[in-house]
Amino acid sequence: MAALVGRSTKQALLRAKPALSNQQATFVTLKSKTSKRVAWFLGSLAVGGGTVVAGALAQPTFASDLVLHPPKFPWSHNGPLQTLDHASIRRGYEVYKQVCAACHSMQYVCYRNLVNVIMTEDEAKAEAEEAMVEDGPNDVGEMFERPGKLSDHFPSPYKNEEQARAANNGAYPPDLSYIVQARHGGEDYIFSLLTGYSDPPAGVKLMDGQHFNAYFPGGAIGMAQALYNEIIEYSDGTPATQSQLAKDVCVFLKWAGEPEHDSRKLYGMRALIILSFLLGVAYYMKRLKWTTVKTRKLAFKPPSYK
Amino acid sequence: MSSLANLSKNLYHAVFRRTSTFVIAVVVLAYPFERAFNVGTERYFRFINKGKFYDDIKGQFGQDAEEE
Ligand code: HEC
Repeated sequence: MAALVGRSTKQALLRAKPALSNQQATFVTLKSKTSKRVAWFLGSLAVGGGTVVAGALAQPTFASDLVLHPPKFPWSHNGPLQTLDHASIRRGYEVYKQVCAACHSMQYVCYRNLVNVIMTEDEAKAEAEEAMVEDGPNDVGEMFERPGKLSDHFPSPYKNEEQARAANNGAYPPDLSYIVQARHGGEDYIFSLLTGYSDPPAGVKLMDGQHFNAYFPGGAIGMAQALYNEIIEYSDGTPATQSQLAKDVCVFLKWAGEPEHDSRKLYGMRALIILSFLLGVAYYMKRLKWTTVKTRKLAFKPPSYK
Repeated sequence: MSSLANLSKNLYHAVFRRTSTFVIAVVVLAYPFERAFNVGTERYFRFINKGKFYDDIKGQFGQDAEEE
């Protein structure tokens, strides 16, 4: 392969003619024949493929592994250069605040993070002031409540895990700040979970406070279906169907877990452009430095035995 | 000699041949290159993702829409 690329670009890149070209002798080269190389290629392909298949077959399959994998959804942020839809993040925040925040904390996200991502600074300040935050101690050593500031984190619905479990039949509603990274399938899984409730199939017994959801490992989940058509009203007038609500809250959670998402993709594009240019430069430099070696001719002068 | 070859020859003799002038050229051109490259890539990025950025949706929502 390298020889092929080399041969086709050699003349185009560097027009270095060997100095001794008209006296060129025929040399025996150690390059293998094409047919031999093809055989090598096919041989290693077969060995590699066989190894993969053998590896896959060596893994046992357990019935308990049998979970329903979420389908891949066509998110508008799929793809190497696609950013998050910020209108959707904003709607998703409304869903989180009005529905999920009753049970789930998002303790790693601050109000200031919302500024210029989904709302203006004034809006975010107003948003923060709606929440009462515990602060202190004051000068007599007591904790007090005050309206939230931009630098405050989202308030948690429960004081601690024990209180959260006690309020939810022993099931702990996890913090949603990084939930998209914390679950296999990411936002595909969360979307499927939020829209995947059904009656339990025959033979499946649920305990008190459990609900059936085919996408949840094991099927019995401690969270009741949270999203229904028109459960909230969007401020931009988008029809609040169940799937719309689920989609928007997933995009919001995706942003919460990866707030650098958009700039990461922009920087990735820049890095690839610069690095591919530098790759060309490096290749040219290599050819340049090697011309002297590649065009060198060795001449053997037989000793004369006079 | 074509004018392009002339240009590259002159450029070589004026700039690239000596390390001193070459380094100066690198330092001086770094800034305009960085500006052009960053602005260009960001504009392209915003173009292919039109409508998804916060700047695109600013002013469409209740409170801040009333301000305008
Ligand atoms: C009534 C309280 C309640 C509400 C409202 C609620 N959840 Fe939950 N959620 C729970 C509980 C309890 C669990 C733990 C379930 C379990 O482990 O069995 C949970 C678990 C989860 C999980 C983790 C599932 C897993 O794979 O472990 C996600 C994700 C989730 N909720 C998302 C949401 C979203 C998004 C919303 C808002 C649309 C929401 N929840 C609204 C109570 C709630």
